[in-house]
Amino acid sequence: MADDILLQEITSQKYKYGFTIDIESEQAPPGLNEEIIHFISAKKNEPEWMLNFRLKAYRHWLTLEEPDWAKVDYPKIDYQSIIYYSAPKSKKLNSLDEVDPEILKTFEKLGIPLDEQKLLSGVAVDAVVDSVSVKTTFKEKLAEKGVIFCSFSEAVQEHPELVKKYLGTVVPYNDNFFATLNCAVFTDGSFVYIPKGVRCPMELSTYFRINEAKTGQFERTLIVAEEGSYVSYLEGCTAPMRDENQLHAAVVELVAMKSAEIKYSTVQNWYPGDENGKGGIYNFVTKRGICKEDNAKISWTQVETGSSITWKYPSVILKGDNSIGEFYSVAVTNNRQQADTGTKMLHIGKNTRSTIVSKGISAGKSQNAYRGQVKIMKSASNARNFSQCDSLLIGDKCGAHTFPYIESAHSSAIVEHEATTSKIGEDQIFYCNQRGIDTEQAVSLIVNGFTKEVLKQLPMEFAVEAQKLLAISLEGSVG
Amino acid sequence: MNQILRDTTKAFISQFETDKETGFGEDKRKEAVKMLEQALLPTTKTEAWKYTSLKAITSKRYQSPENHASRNLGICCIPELDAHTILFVNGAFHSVCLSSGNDEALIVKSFGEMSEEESIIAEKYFAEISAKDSGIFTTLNTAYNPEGVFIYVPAGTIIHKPVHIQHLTDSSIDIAFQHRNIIVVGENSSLKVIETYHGAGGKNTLRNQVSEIFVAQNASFTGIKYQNEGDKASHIEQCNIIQKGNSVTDFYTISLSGEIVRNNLNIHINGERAHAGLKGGYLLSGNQHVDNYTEVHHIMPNCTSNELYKGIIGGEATAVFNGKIQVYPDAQKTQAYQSNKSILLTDTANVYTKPQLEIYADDVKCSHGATTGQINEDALFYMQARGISRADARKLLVCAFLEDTFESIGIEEVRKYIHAAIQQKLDIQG
Repeated sequence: MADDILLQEITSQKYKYGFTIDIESEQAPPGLNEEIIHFISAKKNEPEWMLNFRLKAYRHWLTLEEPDWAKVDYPKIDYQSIIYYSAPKSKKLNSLDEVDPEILKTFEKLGIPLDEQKLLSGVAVDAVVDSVSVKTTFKEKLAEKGVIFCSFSEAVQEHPELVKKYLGTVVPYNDNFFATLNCAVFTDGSFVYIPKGVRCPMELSTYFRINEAKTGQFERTLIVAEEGSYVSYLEGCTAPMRDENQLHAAVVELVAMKSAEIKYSTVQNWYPGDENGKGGIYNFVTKRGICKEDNAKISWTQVETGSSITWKYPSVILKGDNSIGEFYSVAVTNNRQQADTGTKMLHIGKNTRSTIVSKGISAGKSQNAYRGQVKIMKSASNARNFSQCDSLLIGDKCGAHTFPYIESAHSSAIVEHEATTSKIGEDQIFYCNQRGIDTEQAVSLIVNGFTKEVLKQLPMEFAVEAQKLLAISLEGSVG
Repeated sequence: MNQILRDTTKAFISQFETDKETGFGEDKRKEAVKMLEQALLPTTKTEAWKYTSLKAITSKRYQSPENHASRNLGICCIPELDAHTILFVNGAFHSVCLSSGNDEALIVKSFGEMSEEESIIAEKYFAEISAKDSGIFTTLNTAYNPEGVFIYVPAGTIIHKPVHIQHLTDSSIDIAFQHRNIIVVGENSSLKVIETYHGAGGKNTLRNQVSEIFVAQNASFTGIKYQNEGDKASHIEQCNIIQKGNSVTDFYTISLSGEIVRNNLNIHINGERAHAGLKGGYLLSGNQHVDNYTEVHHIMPNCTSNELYKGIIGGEATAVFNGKIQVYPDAQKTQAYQSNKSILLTDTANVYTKPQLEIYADDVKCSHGATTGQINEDALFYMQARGISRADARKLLVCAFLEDTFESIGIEEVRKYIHAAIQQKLDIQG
């Protein structure tokens, strides 16, 4: 059967970005205890309140148990065998020439816009290689507008009052197992502050890359948009091929003040493991935004193609009246990947609105689950939610699951949810074939159409990459 | 914490303990008694009980019913319905009346009345699907319940008149009791069962019921459950249905009152080209709490299921809907649809909806939809503009909304009866 051959092709598709680089690194011994936390904190020259925050989280973490409710299955993680700190050179860099040529080579292979040619595309890049920010561009231009866009450790040094004010306000240190772990050991990440009334002149973008073997990467991102401001933030990831599972437990916090808007886009393409599910990243991420004041808006867009395990629920707390939350997601799983992803929309303010569009595509022997919650509190009169979760199944060994939770406590709220699961219709393929489009192209056409609603939410530069990733993930396409 | 739960569980179980025997299934009974030693009551931390707290039940002390007489037998009847009836008062068998006609082959017996032959058949089906993971309430029922009804339709028999199982709870003290249904529909047969629950006396009552229904090849089964036991009656039921190839099951659950009502409805479609239809309607007020927990297991290919649950929730009532559709790896060409719609009448009412699709086969068509909202203002305005008072217009809309869930009941008298009961409840509420 031609279908079987196609199926084989896609399942045997190798991870294209799989390579490793050798950077002299300074790292902590494996394991986790208070000493390590002191070490990380000292290494980063952190003020005492930061260290206390970490220790408080660590002590709380010791009392927690790893959650097991998600529909994912993986061998137990040994938290004592993970290296919690690893940094490439710690010296300051001012120009590209000073950047380790190997890192540049990596970026080049990934096509990351760090060099001059990329600068023209108008993307400011804060590139993270192994936990420490290496290079920040466009800083001056942003500074003109008063926008702060820097690595998290820099923010702790230079803007401690801001970090102190907002850190842990959206995702508290005791939120959940992985978020708490992150609070204790996070090494770096990005910090963005948009002052009142400023429309950020460019898309802000960070590329993360997990690099050192056995290094869990724990980033922390904090974005604060003051009254009437706007920012679009992009996050994209690729990782080299490894045999051992790598843990990634990031925390992202967004704070939108009155009439502010934050648009957060992610393209995630970490190493998903080989066809037997060996290796691959464990991606346990806590992402949450709060529309703190009236008329704020937070929008999450994500394209998830990588990681062997994804456990991720970007959420929005709609506290201000008339605030808006959006969630657009495409999750593709192949081989033995497992994804349990979705969102939470918590309606507290009046006239709050939320939209959820989730598209899951499962192929090979993968499991793909949508898990989402829409909660309308008693105070949320005239709240409105619309959710749509569609799943596409490719092959008969995969699974697609939907677990929406709808909780409504107000009579004037309207909540709608719909979910469908189907495979690519034989008649659809036949229709394309009949018009001279071969099966492979037809499938890619249909998948493209299936995900279009989400992809069109991405900023231009990103949409191109996302489409490429989808193509790679399902390449050789499927019948 | 765990110790408290253990103690609560023990105290709860002790309310049901009895030495009475049914006369069949002794091994399974003993096994269940043993399993109870380890069992714990679910809490709101248990995923399946997330939205239904059992505190209202576990905090009460119930006694086992002693008085099985009642002056209110009349409220159990459905006007003009010509049916075979069997009546249970406070869980105990009261009387049976098989209407004459051509349904000679039908067996409807309470456990106590069964012949040895019938016991042997019943034993084969007893606790067969309510296997180990069905939860503490089912195990409790298996362990300590001597009472129930056995309905058997031999192969190739069409039962013309429906069977009406009447349950009446009428007590002057707080009571807890159990009941069990074993219903077997043979190959190429057809059966309709109506189960009604009524209450009088106004005391706190708790019913723990298990139903085991077997629908054989080419058979058809219709089940209708009508709950109106009163605001102080709690009701926990585990209903397991197994369907074989080419069979059709239609199940209706209508709930109009209850303190804590939990309807677990599990359908296992274990044969090709079978169909299951599930419908449920609920109209809640006051502090009522109704939790419909349904599971449809598509085990074999080429089957279809269709699920529709609609509810109107007023007062401080809470409605929970959990609908799980599981499509097994080999169940290709499955078509499974599910829909849950709720209308909140007040801002103190709560709705929790949790549909679940778990799909392991690729050539399937599955969908679910859920909405919660309010009565449409435009529709109200339209009717008011035509001289219908706002109150009447509301009632009309509520009735019409719920009608979807029971209008396809093939027995006109029952449909009318449910319709009238909804009307009546709306009239009282105003």
